[in-house]
Amino acid sequence: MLHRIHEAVDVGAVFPARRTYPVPRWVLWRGERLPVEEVHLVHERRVGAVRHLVYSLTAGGTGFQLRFDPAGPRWYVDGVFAEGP
Amino acid sequence: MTILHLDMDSYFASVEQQANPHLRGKPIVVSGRPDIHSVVAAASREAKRYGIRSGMTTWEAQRLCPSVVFVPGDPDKYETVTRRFVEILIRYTPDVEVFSIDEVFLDVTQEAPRHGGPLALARRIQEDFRAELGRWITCSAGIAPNKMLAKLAAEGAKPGGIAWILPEEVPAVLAETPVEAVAGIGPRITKRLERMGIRTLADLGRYPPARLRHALGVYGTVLSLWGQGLDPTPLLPYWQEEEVKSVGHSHAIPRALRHPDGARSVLLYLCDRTATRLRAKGLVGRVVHYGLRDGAMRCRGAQRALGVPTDDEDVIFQTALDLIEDQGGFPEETTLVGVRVSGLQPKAETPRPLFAGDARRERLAQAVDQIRHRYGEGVLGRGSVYACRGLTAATGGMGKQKEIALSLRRGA
Repeated sequence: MLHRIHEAVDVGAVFPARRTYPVPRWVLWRGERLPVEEVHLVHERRVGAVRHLVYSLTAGGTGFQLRFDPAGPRWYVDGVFAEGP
Repeated sequence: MTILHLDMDSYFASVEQQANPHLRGKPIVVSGRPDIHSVVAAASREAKRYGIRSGMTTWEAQRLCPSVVFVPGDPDKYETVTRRFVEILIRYTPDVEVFSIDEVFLDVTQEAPRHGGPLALARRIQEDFRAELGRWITCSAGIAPNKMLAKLAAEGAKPGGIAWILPEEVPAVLAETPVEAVAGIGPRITKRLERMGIRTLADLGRYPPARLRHALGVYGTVLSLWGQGLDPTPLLPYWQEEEVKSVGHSHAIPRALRHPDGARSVLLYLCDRTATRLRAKGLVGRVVHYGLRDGAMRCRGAQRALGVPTDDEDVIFQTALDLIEDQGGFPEETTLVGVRVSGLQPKAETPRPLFAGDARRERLAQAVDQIRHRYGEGVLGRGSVYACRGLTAATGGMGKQKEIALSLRRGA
């Protein structure tokens, strides 16, 4: 299940020419730089007038829900996926 | 004609399993909160092995599988994935009908030969979905001469398979298909047909059409055609989608708000959301409908036509409240409330407010809409519905297909 948190984080991302959204490559999470192993799903969430991008991914063996606010622009960790309820 | 029907497998659950590796291979359901009167919106393949089905209560799902994981619905996720797979399909043909959030029809009569036939095309689409959506989001495909048979074929191919009903196979399919297997024939009609000696589609096809029409009206004519393996329903491509005919919201109510005062607050909240959506679409509506469900799961509803069409939440609320009071008021325990406005027309075609009070209310509503659009829906609201703020997220995404189709048409 997703354990919700809300923390601004540093993210290294590329902006591929053929994609309409950035692709995160690493996440600086609580002092540790975690390489993104796999992006499982990217979806959009409208927050007011702004379309945020929400990434469900695994970085450094941990599942994260990462959100990109293009208005910031800023990245946030919205939650961590864990076993159990 | 060659119709391809694609039906996403255990859709919402599959999307959640794609997003979260911890959920993969486990019995999960996408639902509302299990501690209120919620229903299962989608069950994963693993959950279905326990007999869990969509529409079942969460209580029943837990009884069948105590280890089932309840996952709250995330409509943004499902809507994004639906848009994405429809965009993939439009690369093949513009004749794509968005039938629901997880089902589409394609007319591949022209396209299939270019891809080695409809079977090869269906396989290629399944591979595209795997590559671009994720390997956990799969679809079943049905190929047939019309929509009814294509949907039947896809159902038989679940999960993740492809079935093709060739024209020469139709009589055999009709003979072995029970009437209740067809979408659009529910339990009540099935019982009626049974009393008439009709159990299979072939039985339906052999029954005199005039007698079916006499028994079931216009619907009898449609059933007679289905019984002959025919379906005159045209494919409605996304670019021909008509504008919405009604706007509304309904919600299951948390335990804490089931008393009449709480249910009234929820009704006001839903009227507010409905009015906001009407204004966003530039529409006003003439007919207000309400629906309630009580603690014994009994439903009731009514509608009233207004003299002047409206997009004002207070008018919608007062009309719905009057209807509820006329029918005896809220029950002691209300488990679901719904409101809908139909008889829609563009606001630009309605006269401007005559009275200063109405004009002031309209300006206030516009200001609130602008603030919410800029900062988010929950940023501003009435104090009397503060307790309802947690109702913003629906568990499903049902009803979104029209908005998705319309936005694709506009190129949004």
